[in-house]
Amino acid sequence: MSNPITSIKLVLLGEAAVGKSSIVLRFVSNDFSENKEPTIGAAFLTQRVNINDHTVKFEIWDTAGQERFASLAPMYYRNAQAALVVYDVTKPQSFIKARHWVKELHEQANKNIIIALVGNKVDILEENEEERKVEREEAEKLADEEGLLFFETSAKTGTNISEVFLGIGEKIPLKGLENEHANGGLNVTEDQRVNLANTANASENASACSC
Amino acid sequence: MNIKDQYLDTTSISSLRSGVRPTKSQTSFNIQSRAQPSLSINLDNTIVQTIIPPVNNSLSGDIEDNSLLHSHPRLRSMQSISSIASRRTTRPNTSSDQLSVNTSFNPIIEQSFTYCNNNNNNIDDPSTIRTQDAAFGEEIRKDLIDRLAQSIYSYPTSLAGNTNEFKPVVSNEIPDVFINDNQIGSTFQSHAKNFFILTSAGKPIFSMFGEDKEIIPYMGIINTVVSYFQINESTNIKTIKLNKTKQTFAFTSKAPIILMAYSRRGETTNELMTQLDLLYSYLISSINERQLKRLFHNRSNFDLRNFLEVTDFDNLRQICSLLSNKLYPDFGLNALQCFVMRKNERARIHDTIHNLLINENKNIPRGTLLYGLILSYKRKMFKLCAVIRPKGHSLHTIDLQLLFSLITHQFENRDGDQELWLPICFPKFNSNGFLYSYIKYLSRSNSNNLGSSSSDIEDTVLVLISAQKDAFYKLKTFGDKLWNKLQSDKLNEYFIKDRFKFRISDIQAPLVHHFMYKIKKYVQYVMPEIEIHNDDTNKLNRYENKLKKFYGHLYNSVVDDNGLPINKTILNYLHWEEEEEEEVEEAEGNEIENDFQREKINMMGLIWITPQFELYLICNNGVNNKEIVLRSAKRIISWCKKYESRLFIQEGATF
Repeated sequence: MSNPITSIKLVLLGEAAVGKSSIVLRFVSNDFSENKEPTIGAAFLTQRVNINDHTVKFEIWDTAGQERFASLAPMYYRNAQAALVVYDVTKPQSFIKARHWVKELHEQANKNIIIALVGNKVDILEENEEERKVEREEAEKLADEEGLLFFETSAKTGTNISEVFLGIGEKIPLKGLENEHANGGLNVTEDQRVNLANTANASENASACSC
Repeated sequence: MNIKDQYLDTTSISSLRSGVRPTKSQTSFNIQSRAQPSLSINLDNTIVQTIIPPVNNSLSGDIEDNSLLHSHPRLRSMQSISSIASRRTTRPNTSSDQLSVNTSFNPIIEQSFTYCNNNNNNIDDPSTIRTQDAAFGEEIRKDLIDRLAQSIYSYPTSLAGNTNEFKPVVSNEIPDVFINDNQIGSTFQSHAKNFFILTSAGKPIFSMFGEDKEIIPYMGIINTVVSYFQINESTNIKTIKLNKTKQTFAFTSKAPIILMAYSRRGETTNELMTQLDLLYSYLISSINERQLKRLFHNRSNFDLRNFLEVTDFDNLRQICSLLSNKLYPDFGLNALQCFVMRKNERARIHDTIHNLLINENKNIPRGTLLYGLILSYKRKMFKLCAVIRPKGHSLHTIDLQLLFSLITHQFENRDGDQELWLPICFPKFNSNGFLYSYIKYLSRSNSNNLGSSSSDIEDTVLVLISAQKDAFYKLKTFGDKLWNKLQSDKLNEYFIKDRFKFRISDIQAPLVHHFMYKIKKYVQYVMPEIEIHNDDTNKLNRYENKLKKFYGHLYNSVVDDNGLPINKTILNYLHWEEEEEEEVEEAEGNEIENDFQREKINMMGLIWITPQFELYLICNNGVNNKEIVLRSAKRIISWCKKYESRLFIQEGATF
């Protein structure tokens, strides 16, 4: 098969100023800016990446973290196949908010949505580990319980950013693989847990991602 | 565009430097209601070579072409009399020195203009001058010298269209006749102007200056004052004025929000109230009135700051700064500026939009798109390139200014090719609901071929507005198709670069330093580009502040307490000069001006309001000949008329 294109609708959610836009900027432009303006409403961006001979086109909704835009969030995650729930590893409040988002996504969003829990701003910890306010174990526990991918990232240094999107890309059933999803899925990762979820998703998702 | 005219005031006025007073000679014209405002019509086909002999009240008509007057029998004189008051140096007593001569003309007075019926309508052709009566030889000679002087600075890429890369900058050195009153000390009370927004429970929301601990005591006082009048007088307090210290406090109470403006710049209550209205409108654009009332319904002590975000405070600060320190004609004139392009170019763009809307009506059903704009953004200013609107509907300029201030923020830090989906409440459209704006950045260009100064970057942006919260993909598809079409037809080239920007020297209007001209029915205005050599931001700010104050004085000279013009048609001159016997220089902190012997202040301005247009004009320092100024004003008007279809969007793509 000749490089089929899969579109992945992805939404970023999380408290204001945790670095959602910076993660996107790093992923899309490999760039970082220190004093980013807060997003108002939502920004829509696209980025193409190649995963295992497939071109994946990410259609990214970078939403505003501000409370007053929260009522708009369902519009963005309603048809999303993937979500990044972002928190700031130095802000415990942002992790509480992340828990809420995970809960809301499980209740309201597409049943097969793939959620990645992302603890951002680990570059601050490299300078001073005492700044850490959300323990890695705590976040891993949440990810395990809820079946989430989990990453700790830094948009500033680029740490783990592409891994987040590749991780998502690998879990989305790719076009052209739909008929052989079991095999295709097995090749993606060695992780048994992830793999199972993937095959399960693939069969159900085949109809959902007709876009 | 909206036709509502609110006559909002241009600017704030500063207290005058001691010894400098505006001398005011005011002539208002009572055109009787039957009289058609036909002056502008005449200007269409006529070159107003107003060569005016020394005016006297008898006005013996030196009319060359009487037929013109006869063909418009209702046209009567609008000539202002040169008032002696304008040249008089003034006395310290304020009440007497603002000597105002208010002459209401009897409409039967004959015209003293010299009309030269020039069919080819070429105001740029100096030969037209020579066709004048020899009796005015002296005037003509002076005029030619003026033209020569100006042609030295003539701007190459003018509307006439010739291109030359050499761009001399016209001097912006007009004297500042006002003291630098922005800040006297360093404490927060020392600011000459401040804005406060608080809740009806007295909780602070925003202040232009001042830390929380400084402003909180004032919140209590403001709240008490407002409540006192509401409880005891069942009314809302509007203003408190302290005549001695020239302090004005203006209040607006819109439960659950209270706003107060403080000014020591001698601004009128009306000016401050309209400024407060803009701030309130901004708040509503973020949180609509229904949301606001709901938030406060059960918790009257709700802290709204928790609900607003950094962006909001930044935007409020930005608006305050525009209101206080920048020339902000969008707000002052309550009009928008239009990106200059040829008539047929704009028509092609509008046709393309219109056709695409018809072809795409399956993908973008009627009712999805409410309003659309193509905007050019440069130096923090938006100009309209194209307008898509339903027939007979338009958005209020305030609403669009709020949209602009939101987008400005995003412009400063945009990421690549992102598209935005912004919920925004347009308070003048519907203060209880949100509309949704699709925003797509189309292109970026640098108009300065020589350098890469950021101020020369021009962005173009597409805004499509819908009432449907999930219309994003429909609008995106339409936007993408539109942009592809514009690119494939090479129409985008018309608005990615400002080819027709002009300077005052492009118009044969001698001795005019700067002007603003607004056509009321389009709710659009035009003014020469403000440019500062080397893009010195401080210099630019100082210059804009000067212009702002001059225009503010001009405007306030013709409006009543409610900010409405005192007459339908007004022509007024203002004169600023210093008293000869007083030394004024001491307080001036401007090192550049101190290096040279300071110019003697002798400034003149003109304001001309008719039902069709508004013209604000400031002359070069030293100009005091009203006839020449009036003639220049008419040239500006006829120039704007001549290029009207380039300077203004007349219809837009309507559907």
